[in-house]
Amino acid sequence: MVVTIATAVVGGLLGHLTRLPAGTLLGAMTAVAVLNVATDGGARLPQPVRHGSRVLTGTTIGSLVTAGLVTSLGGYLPFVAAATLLVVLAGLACAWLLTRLTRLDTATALLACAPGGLPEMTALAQDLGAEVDVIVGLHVLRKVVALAVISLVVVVVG
Amino acid sequence: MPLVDITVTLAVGLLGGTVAHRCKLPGGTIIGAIVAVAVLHVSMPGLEPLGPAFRTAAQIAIGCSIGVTLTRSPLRAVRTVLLPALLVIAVLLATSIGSAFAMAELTDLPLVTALFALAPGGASDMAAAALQLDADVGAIAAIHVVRQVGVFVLLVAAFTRYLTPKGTHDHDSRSHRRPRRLRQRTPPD
Repeated sequence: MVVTIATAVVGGLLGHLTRLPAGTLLGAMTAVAVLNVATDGGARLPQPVRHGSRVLTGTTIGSLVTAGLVTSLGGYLPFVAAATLLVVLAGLACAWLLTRLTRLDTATALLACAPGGLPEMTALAQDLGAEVDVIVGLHVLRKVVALAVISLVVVVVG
Repeated sequence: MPLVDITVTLAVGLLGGTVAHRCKLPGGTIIGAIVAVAVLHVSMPGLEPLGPAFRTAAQIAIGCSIGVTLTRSPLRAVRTVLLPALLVIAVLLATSIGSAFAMAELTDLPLVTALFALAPGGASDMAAAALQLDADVGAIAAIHVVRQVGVFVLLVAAFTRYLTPKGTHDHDSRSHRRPRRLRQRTPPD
């Protein structure tokens, strides 16, 4: 656990120095992922530490919420609902595509293409006898690629 | 920020996160902490946001949490379907980025905030990523929470209803209506 946290801190600080958008997060993520893959699961983060890191992140984000934001959110709701529906439909279309292009069964394809909710999708996958590794792999890959691509787009659009 | 404010904010975050985790709410700990602390800060406008050191620590914590989920076994599994998987990710990303540009055009939400808010990642990942930028992190987190609940309600309900556990027959209508109880071993939220 100490090695994992030290790796994350070093990676995060190196990422911070790059001044890339989300550089700290991407640096920590890359360093720990490399350690984890190289040592075949050697990176460890006990459950209480994970819980604590999520509390810290949630608390930091929550402390940035203001009354003005809560008031303005109502106006965004129709757009958020439309965007959510669109991405859910895109996920369903992708699942269909995945069943046509690969040997994956419908349940695995649907759960792998769901745009979010990895813990819930994995629990359902275990329950349905779907291929959990493919689902976890695709969700994690999507998350990593999304972080990298969105950061890149932010650099491009300024 | 005064030490008392930091302590109160962290205590409320811990309480909110733990309660949400115990109640097994989607998004669990992080969403619980965000909502609890947001309520505290909105109801007590004098409280200042947590400082840059906390933002850096949060980014490292989330980066570390994502990094430990990347193991050889899921990567090997995805490698067998790599090209279609990348195509799927590209489609989901293009949909999200297109929606973000449309939303920034049609509302007063800044483009950078919209990009992170509608990105196909978790509330915590995207909001934490934006902590380093001049984006409205609160809006990103709030929009992700709404999105996550929407996805959860639409998909989990549909999947639970229509997907059949392997090994059961299609005509076994009970399996459609009442899938076995979900097991507890799930990856981090």
